[in-house]
Amino acid sequence: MKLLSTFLLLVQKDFILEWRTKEFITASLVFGILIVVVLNFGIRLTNNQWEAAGPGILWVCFVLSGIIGVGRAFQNDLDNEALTGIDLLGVSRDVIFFSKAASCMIFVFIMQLLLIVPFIALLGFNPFSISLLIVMLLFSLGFSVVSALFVLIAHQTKSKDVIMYVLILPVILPILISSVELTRELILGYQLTFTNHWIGVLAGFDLVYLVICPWLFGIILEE
Amino acid sequence: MKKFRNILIATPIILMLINIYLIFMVAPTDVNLGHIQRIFYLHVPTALLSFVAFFTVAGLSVSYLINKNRAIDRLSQALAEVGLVFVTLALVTGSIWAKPVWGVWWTWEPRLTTTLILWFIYVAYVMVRSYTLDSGRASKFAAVLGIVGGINVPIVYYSVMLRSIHPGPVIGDESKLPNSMLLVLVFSLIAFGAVLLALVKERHFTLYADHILSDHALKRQQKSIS
Repeated sequence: MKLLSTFLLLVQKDFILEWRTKEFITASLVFGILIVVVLNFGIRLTNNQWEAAGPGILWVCFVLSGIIGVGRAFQNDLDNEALTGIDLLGVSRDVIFFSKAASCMIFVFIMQLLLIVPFIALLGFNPFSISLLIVMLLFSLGFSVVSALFVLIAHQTKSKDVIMYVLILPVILPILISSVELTRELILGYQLTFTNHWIGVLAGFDLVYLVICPWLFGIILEE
Repeated sequence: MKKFRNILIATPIILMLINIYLIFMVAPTDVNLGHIQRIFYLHVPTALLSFVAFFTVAGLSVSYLINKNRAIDRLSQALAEVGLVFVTLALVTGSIWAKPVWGVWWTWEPRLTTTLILWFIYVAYVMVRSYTLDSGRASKFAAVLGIVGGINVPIVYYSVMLRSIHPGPVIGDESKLPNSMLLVLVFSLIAFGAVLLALVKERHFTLYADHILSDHALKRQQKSIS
């Protein structure tokens, strides 16, 4: 019970910080819209090519702006040694990890929801459906768990901005492929079922990293 | 000790010279692919050994995080760096081979994509080590990456396999290789294995010397302060 209340308190702290600074949402949303604009001029697509290229463009936007956002979300904690402070209070490192991953997951999910609007408005391509929300949730979970671990590492190196991308992108490739393929299937009118291979990859990835990342996070946090 | 080191350096050189002779003089020319197929004797051993090195690094990383043994950390660093050279060689030779056979330098086939992702993880491993100022932290970060990479490579392979339509095997089923080709391949694997071991041993030695020197410098600093 105490663990749960600590977890909720830490998530609440992240929300208060985000509410005051709006760093995650602002940085990732502006960056995401910029990617949409740049890609619009980079790729000239006719109407029937959207089914093939649209999901890829959408998820590239989500991933790149997600990394920017997660980087910003950790900035305050690491600059002010807040994580070390919480660790010194004797809070379980697993709770610290899960609270960080949970708040990142919620922020990434909100960012994705907000980013779909300019995506539809600017490109005239609507991939939205209720099933896509499930894909976005599963992706946000895996992405946030992996990012929470790697952003902590990247922030302690000399070139954190480069290292962050070099670490996160190759590792999240399986969930990126799965999300793109699932979005394509949804656009083509297929129903989302839990026996779908791609749902299996997404859920399997999330499960594996939910087990391994807290252990590794604890090791990195200890001095 | 010096004699052992000389043997360790001389063995791969001799084996590699014999290997080159076997590849170009003894191995038969492939009926369909011609001389270009000879790159197979460089490509397969480097690719296989880079994967072996990578999974060994993952195992050593787990061991390091549990025991915090610096010798294990040095060994995994040496293996990862040499593994990066091997996986780069595998990608380059694979690309040279693919151009005349498939007509393209690259295709997003599961084995190729997984090898490329492996290369990125190796690069990240080396970058994290060199971009982290504190050597203790660098070892820890690298070990984390070694473990995550070891877990991720099979998942990447599976997801790319689901996505792609497989091109047929180029050299057919490997088990159907004629004995003369198989023998040269096995010898090449042994020769490259010897090269890998020698390089890892040498790199491990320089890392060991580096650790001793930095420890010595630290002790001198502490003495001068006290």
